[in-house]
Amino acid sequence: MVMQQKNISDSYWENLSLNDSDLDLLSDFLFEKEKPLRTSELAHALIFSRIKQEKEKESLKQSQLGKRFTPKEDYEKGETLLFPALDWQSGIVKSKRAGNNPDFEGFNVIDVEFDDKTIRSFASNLHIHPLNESFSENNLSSSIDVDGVYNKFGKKIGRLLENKLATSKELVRIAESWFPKSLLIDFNQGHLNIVEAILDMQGGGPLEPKAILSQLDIDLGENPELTEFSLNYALQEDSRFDEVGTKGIYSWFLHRLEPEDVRQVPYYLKYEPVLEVSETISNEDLSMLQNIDDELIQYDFGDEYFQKEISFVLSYPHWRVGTIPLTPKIKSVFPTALQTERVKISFHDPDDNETISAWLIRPDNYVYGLRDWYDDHDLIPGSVISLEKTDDPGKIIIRAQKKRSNREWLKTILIGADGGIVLALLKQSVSAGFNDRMAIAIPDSEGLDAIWKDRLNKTRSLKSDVMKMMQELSKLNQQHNVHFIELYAVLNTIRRIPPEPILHLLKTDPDFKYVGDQYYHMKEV
Amino acid sequence: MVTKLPSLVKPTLRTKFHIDFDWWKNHDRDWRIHMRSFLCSEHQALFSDEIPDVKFDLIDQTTAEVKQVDALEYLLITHCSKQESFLSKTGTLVDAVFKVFLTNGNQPLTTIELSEVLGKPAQLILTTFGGLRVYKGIRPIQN
Repeated sequence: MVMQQKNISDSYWENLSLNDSDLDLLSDFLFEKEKPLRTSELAHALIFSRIKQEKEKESLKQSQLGKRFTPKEDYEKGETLLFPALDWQSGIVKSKRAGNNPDFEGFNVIDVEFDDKTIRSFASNLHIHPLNESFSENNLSSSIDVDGVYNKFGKKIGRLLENKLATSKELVRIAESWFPKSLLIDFNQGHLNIVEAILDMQGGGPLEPKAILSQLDIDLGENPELTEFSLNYALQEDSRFDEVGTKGIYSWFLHRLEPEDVRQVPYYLKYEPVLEVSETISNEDLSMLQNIDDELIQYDFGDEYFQKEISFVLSYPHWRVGTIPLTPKIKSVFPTALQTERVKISFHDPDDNETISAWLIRPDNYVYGLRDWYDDHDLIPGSVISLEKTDDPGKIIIRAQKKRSNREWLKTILIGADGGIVLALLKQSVSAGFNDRMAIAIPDSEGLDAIWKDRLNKTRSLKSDVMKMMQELSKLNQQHNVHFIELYAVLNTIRRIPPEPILHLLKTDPDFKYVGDQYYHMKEV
Repeated sequence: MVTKLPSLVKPTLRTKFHIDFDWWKNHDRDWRIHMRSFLCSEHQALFSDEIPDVKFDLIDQTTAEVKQVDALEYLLITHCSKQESFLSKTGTLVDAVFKVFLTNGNQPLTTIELSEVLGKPAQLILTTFGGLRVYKGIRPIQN
């Protein structure tokens, strides 16, 4: 009979569910450590505990089937033994004799017959041998491969753990770290008022907790890490303060001093859903949607992006506000703070050796702070920008696609005296690389602003806007056909609209006809 | 019915080798003299005339399994091979591999593992010990 000391199977971790005992265990662990721990550290503790429990259960089960062989014990003929070092094979002691070895005295040698009838000899009554210790607590611990399990199932276990820990009333969370509430150091209202004044003097921040504590003039005690965590918790619970640090680095800003376009979504980026969109999209359309890469696209392409460097095409609304859309692809180069909604980051333009301070607004999927940089580089809607990660998650390299300054024929938006929009192909000076279909020159930005302002409180049907812009675009070529991406780009100069509702309208409304290759034709024209 | 003769399986880089002491006993009358040359100077002096014909129980440090060995093997494995000068950089490849097995208690090793210990190419070790000729009893383990 061969007994296996089984490794815990993958399915155990795949089907893992957490119970209240796990929560108790982790609470005790946090109390014992007396310092805040990250979800990943608690996941390691959980995995260790679960493996240990399973191994102990397995050992108990096996010990019921026979005596576990350890060299220090002495055995008699007829006893059934289990050999942990031999994959838990079992055998019966057939004979025993005195051992002969000048280095060890008084031990015996037992002959054991295994299931396959082979007879092997083992030392018994031998008090010095590594196997005597191998099932002690310490060695059981060292045989547990926590990292192996964490590398394979860490993400899933981390998610389960966060959900479970969030149900605890005893634990508090700051970003990724957890700690028992009852052990926190108390920061009173007076302290918080001083923090507000400190941040106010710094123009709102950002300031790291260490810097704040140094100005608060309080005793850090024996556990400065805990003091820092407690301050973070007190600031988190007060709506005056905003945590704006990148992942793992806490940094505080005074909420009221944040730019308006950080505190609320800029008008140019706001989208009010206008109609239901089709759930079935052809592969050709999907590929086009992926190319457009609008942060408001609802369709889940299921892709995971891990690029170090990406490039994107600037649309009018983002150009106007000085923002970058945070699409799943673009997000891959930005820091992903777990809880922080607004993160203070910086861009570095290596061509000009310029550093630009910016805000990453996670819930609303945009990065704010590039208006001046767009202006300085004479960018237009349709310009191509590349972004690159650096070793510092809060610092991103930004570049406008290089192009020799030149005059190009571009779609140009002209505003009439009556506020009407006319599209024309005009020669424009261009200084950065651009996407042909998305590029639009806006010589009268203020005139366009007035149109947006005028439309602010009026309801405009998507169809009437689409018809207006298709009329304008169709005048620019002899076939009067309009490419979808050009229509999408031009529509976004007068309203924020993602591509899906436009596509749905063009596909379902009989006034529009698909003529192939993503070109559409308006029947009235 | 024709019964096929067992074929010789060509050893690979992953095949485990060891010293087959039975091979020594069957092929070389002077094996004890040869083995004696590997003894440390202290034991060479002590047993210059004769090595006592006695069996010792050699205990495996991982499994506690007991293997009976004669006094010469016992001394080589438990004492002489542990001396610093034992695995000297000089000498032939055959002697070097032989000494590695004496040092590790004749635990089987692949040529890749031997290569890591000796710093010699695994392929060279395989070519030397993987052929028909057996050097100093070093051969693939027989399953």
